[in-house]
Amino acid sequence: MNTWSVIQALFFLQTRSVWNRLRSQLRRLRQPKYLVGAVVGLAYFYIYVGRFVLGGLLFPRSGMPGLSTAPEFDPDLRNLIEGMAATGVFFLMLGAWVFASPRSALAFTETELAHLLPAPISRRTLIRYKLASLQTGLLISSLVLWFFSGRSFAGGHALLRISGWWVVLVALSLHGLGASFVVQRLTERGLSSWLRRTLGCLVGLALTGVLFWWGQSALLAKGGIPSSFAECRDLGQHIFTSGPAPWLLGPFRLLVRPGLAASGAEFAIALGPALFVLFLLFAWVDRSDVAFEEASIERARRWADRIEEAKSRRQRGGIRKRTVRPSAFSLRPEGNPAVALAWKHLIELRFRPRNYALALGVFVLAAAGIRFVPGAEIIESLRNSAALLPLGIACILLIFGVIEITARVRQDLRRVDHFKTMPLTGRQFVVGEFLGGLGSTVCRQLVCFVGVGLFAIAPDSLAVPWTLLLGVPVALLTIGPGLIMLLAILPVAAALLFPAWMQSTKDGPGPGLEAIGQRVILAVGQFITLSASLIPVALVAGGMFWLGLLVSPWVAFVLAGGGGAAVLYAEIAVAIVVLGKAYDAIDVSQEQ
Amino acid sequence: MIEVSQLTKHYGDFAAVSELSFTVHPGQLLGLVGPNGAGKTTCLRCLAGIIPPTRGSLRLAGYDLATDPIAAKRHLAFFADEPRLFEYLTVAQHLAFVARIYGVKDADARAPLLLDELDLSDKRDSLPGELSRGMKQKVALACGLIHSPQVILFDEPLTGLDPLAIRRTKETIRRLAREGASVIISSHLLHLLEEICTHILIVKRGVRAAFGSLQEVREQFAHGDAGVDLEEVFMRIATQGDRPQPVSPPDSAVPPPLA
Repeated sequence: MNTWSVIQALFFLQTRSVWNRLRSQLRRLRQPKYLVGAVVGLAYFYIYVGRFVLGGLLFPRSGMPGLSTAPEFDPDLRNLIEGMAATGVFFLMLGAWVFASPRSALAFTETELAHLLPAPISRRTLIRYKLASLQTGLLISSLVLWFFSGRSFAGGHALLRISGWWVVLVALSLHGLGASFVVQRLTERGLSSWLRRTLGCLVGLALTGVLFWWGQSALLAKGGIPSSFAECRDLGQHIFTSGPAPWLLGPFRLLVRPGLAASGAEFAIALGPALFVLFLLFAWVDRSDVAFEEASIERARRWADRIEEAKSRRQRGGIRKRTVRPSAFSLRPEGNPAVALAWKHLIELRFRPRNYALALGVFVLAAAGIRFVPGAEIIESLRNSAALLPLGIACILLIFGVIEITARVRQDLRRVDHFKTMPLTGRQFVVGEFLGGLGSTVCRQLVCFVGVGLFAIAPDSLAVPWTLLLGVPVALLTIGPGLIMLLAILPVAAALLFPAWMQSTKDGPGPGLEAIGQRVILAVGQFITLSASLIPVALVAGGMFWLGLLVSPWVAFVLAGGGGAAVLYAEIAVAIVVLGKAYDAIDVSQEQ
Repeated sequence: MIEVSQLTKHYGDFAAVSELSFTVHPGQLLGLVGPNGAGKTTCLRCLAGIIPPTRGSLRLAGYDLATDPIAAKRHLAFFADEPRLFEYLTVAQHLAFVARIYGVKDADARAPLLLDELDLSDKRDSLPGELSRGMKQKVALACGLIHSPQVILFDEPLTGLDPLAIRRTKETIRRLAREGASVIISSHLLHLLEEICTHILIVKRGVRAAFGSLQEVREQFAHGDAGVDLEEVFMRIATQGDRPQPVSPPDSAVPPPLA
């Protein structure tokens, strides 16, 4: 098999994979719920990214609305930025030598390795394939970097900036690969990692020292430390545009220059030398003949394990060690099945009554300390306002409650086919999910409220009135769970209606452009839902309050609270019925 | 009893299963066989209530799966080819969870017996991650059996098991049928099906190609040859070029006496 045939086959693999993934995503758009998401996502993408790129293409100067006021690149500032960017590239490349593993490994997937390593393909071809397959990711990264590095900063030259970022990223990836090959070869010849790292650090220190020395000499000549932005800029320019820096950083400047070009012509002039550097780097990597296979297999396996772990556990903060978690309470075999789901969630959430007792103990000790420790001024102020801390935590926990519920639902929807075989109604499923997420949050809030009480009785005088300190907890306990559920309704509905987006079906193509649109719709929808749901609550509470005032203010408050809460929970009950129906209607066979 | 009538499932324009009808009486063990992509898994997933059929009626233990899914599922146990366990529930917690979902009144008494029977007693406080594949399979089996299901569906039940576990699983399946459950086993292991099944359903391209007792199916495709086994029958059906016409032995059969 000649090299050209191999390259053709590998090209086929890449293009077909991308095309097939895209086709699966497009096929999913036949369902209107995904199509709407895709349209909104496309609009969002166009507004925030696309029009700037198109603007750069169609209106190279300043024809695009919103860009006409973009600042032109000041040539002096550009020199400074070029020098600083070149220094950044230098240190990134130096990092590749310092932090490289002694064994170089190319980032292949397990499937690629299983097919490509036993195939009659030369090592050099594999490296070229890897470099080629990296380009899609590098282009996307260039787009993202341009987006976050100030798209308006570059005027209407978006394509030039994106190309500039691409040149830098390609150089970094080529250099990283070449460095890892050389490091492996040097390690095989006896160079220890610590010596390599020491040498790398010394090189870095040397450059820093030279720049520092040159800058200090300028300071001495000038006679003082710069006191304004303009003086700082002048000093930076002096460091990077004169003395040893232009020589030391020369190749790195060549790489960053295209991205800072002020016009298409300037870009074309800067691109030539940059491409020459890229060619040298490519030739260096291409001619390396280092055995990367074994390390690549190990790396691929490690990655596959991590992905599998992350998929199966999907806990906040990544992978955790699995340990047995005690039950929050003893589950009787009879009763509402929804309780079983809540019970399972509390186990998964590490709900331990012991931890809550511990938190209460801390509150008791802190309150005692505030009450009895004789005090300086700071203790006095603590005494009067300490109750606000647990109160604030209790309020923040509302948000965590929403996250908790949404995470539980998404987790269980990943195994919806398992739950579908169980005698569970959709309503029971949703109630179980809500109870599981709510249980731990409400318990945490209760602990906080006890803390509020303890801190409230500790001082002689309070910074906030008693009525507020006790009223807020009572209100939160009454309507807090309702608010959490209200806020969770929409994300849960999204998870139930868009299971493919939530990747509940393991063989699906994963989220596409529609996912962006769905997130936008979700955010807007959440705001509208919350507003629309609270309007009837407020109306009823207001009416009851007015009626209660006829008797006494206390009666008015109680009536208003009770009436409002009743409306809120009635709305949630309706929502649970609707969500339950959505669960019943899930057809996993349609979510591919 | 499992009663399937005119089961049809379409994925878009593609008919994965077409007009499939059969009945599995209590005590019968039906082997579901077919080439890859024939519609076996779709059929099982419809029967398990995971995916809704496009057309047709499915009755489990006398309950219609479409109109009374909860009652139907209360009598169902579905064992997927991969045991599906919750990462953070111990073996005992799994049983407690499933018992509550299915409302098993005597779960406290049944759970230890099941664990004993499946040699899991010393693993009751272990997490799935600490168990071998065979052990996980046993846990899934314990979860599926705690509510004494009358309808049991197995999808490749012997995958990844060692010879000892294979023998025990076969014994368990036979025992369940003896105790009156209607069992369907989907598998490519034809010798297994020949060994333990009383009836065979062969599907090809979503259509019933053969159905009846093991003996009936063998005779139907023997074409005068002696000693035709299930593998030979399967090969003859699989290599027929045309879309098979539904053959029409009775949709149900009187259960033969069990050994």
